[in-house]
Amino acid sequence: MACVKPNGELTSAAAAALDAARSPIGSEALAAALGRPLFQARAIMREMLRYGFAVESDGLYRITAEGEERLGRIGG
Amino acid sequence: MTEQESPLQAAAMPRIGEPAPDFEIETTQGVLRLEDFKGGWLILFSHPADFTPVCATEFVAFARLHPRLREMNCELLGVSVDSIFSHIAWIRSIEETFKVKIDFPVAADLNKEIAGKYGMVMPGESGTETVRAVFVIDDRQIIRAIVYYPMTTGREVEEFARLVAALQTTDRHGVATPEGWRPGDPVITPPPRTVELAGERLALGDPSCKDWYFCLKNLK
Repeated sequence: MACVKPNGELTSAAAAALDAARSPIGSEALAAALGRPLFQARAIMREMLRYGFAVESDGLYRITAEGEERLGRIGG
Repeated sequence: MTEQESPLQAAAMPRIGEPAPDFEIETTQGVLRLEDFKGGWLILFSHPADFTPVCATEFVAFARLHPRLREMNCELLGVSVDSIFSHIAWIRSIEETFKVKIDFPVAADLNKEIAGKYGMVMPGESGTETVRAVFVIDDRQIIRAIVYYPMTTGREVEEFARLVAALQTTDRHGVATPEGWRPGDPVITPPPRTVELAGERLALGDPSCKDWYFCLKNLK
């Protein structure tokens, strides 16, 4: 999934994924939370990891301060 | 490799029972890797070109089959050597013309990475376009079935749901499936592999066995 628009904004899918990762969450639970297939959840989080908006440990994803800051831009 | 052979001609063809070749590629749903599909089944299929009539009929059929495949824990991934913008335009055209949502990703294999690894280009048919190849990849990312069709003949898409159902039944129950098998039909139990066991099976007088090597059973 494309997670960051050309103007730097998060896509709605990426924002929803980061919001779900405010509590540590695995790929399958994330897919269920997003209502998307597992492969999409994995692709979204791979991109979030690449941008530094999330970290992964023991199979669980968690939002970073950078991710919170980016999410805040949407909310603000 | 001789001087006349291209890298595509010399590429090793994948085989049933071997790990599916890895890839990372831009699709209409973002950059995807083969590993993204791990834990589920995948039908990876190629088509010759966007905006062509036979391919359009296949895409419509795949799209209609997609919800049923998902119930079987199976995803679809289309691929051709067209650009991502061509894919987007074609998908929008199909959705508008045929009123069918294309909900599966389509990969833009412009540099023929997937086409080369999976042997999707048949130089005798076309040196540039992919033929109609289908790879059924299981939840462990092992290639379980390979089907090739020429460019001029559209595939019977329903067959791939039957194929996945048959393979999943084999995995769950350790059985084989006969010609034309459909879910719910009797399956074939593995035949004995020694003379002694063949004799024992015949001695049982099981009415579901037509001969020592041919026994059907119903799955519960």
